[in-house]
Amino acid sequence: MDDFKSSDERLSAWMRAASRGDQEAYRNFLSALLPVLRQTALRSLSRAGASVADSEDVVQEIMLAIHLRRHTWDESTTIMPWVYGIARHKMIDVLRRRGRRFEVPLDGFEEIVEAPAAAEALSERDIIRFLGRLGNGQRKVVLAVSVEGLSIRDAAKRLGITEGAARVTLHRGLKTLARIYGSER
Amino acid sequence: MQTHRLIEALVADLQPLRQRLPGQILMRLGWAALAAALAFYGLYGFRDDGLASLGDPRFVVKISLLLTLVGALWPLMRRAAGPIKMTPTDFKPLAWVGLFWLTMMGLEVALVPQTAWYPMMVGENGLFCLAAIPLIGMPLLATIIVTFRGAAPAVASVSGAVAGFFCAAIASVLYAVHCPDDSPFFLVVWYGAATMILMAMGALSGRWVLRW
Repeated sequence: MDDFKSSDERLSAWMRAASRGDQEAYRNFLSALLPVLRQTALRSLSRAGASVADSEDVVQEIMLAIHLRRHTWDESTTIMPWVYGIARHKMIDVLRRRGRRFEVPLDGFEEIVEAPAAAEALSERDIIRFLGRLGNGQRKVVLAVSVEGLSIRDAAKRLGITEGAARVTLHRGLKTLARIYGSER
Repeated sequence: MQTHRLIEALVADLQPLRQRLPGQILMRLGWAALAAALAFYGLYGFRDDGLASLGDPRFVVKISLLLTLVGALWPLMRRAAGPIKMTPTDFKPLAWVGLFWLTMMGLEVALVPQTAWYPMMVGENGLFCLAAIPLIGMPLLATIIVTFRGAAPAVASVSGAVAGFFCAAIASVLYAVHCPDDSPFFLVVWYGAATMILMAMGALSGRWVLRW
């Protein structure tokens, strides 16, 4: 319990710094959140008896929601209840989209499926499935920043656009991506 | 897309937050309320007694009943916009306001002769009030619903209803400055009915619009 509390405090501190534009803190925050979200997604999906094959998609959808709605977190509170609120909402959304046909509780299944490393490899094909549905401009910027790991400035230089335009395009691309995740499956 | 790559994209997209949710709500609501007030007072004006009404204790009580309601609903609004489900504790301030309202109604019962209760409740402006408060409140509600769309409301219909309640309270304050009926009885019946209308509109539009 103390462990959870201290990690909640640490995550909250990172997110407060991120709100003021600290990218390093934000990367720490998201990276630390990743295993937590994977576990949450796997557990909820398997508990509902749904397929866990694309649980990494769900994790990404939750991350996008956290990113695009981070202004709704009240900084005077710790962040994990807020994160779980977002995750819970998205899980319900995902299960609703898939229909309730598979909602057979499978007790004890969690132990078998909790192999998060495999999940990431599985979702590699999604580069085509999801990014392919972005417009040309948005896809180029998102790819340059995510897959090639360029900074906004370098990505802008490479694509021959201004830094401001690259910034706006990236943000729109992420918003579109969130919408695509929300409508797929 | 691999998740660590998505994280890089999110990090690159990070901007310092210029405005957090409460500030966003207040600013947009402020503009909407200003526009609604200008339109309403432009069309129908203030009460005949104008500033003198501030010396009338019944008017002051009416306004404070409504303002405390606005105040008690504000923390609820902040909760309604977020992903954490509301609990009964969140509604506690509302209970205190309810007590305040009951006290003032008790006072009215004690001070006003029984024969006047019914005419006071019916008032002079009932139907106008019933139409005006929702009309003033609607642009406010639309503003809030749009803002909530970009937020993360846990239960869309409940959040919409809370937004409707809050907008009704603000619209009531604006309307009360125009309305000559000051009895708490009148408030409960007519303002109450108008509030129900806005809450229902909020809940319904929330259901349809607030999925994220």
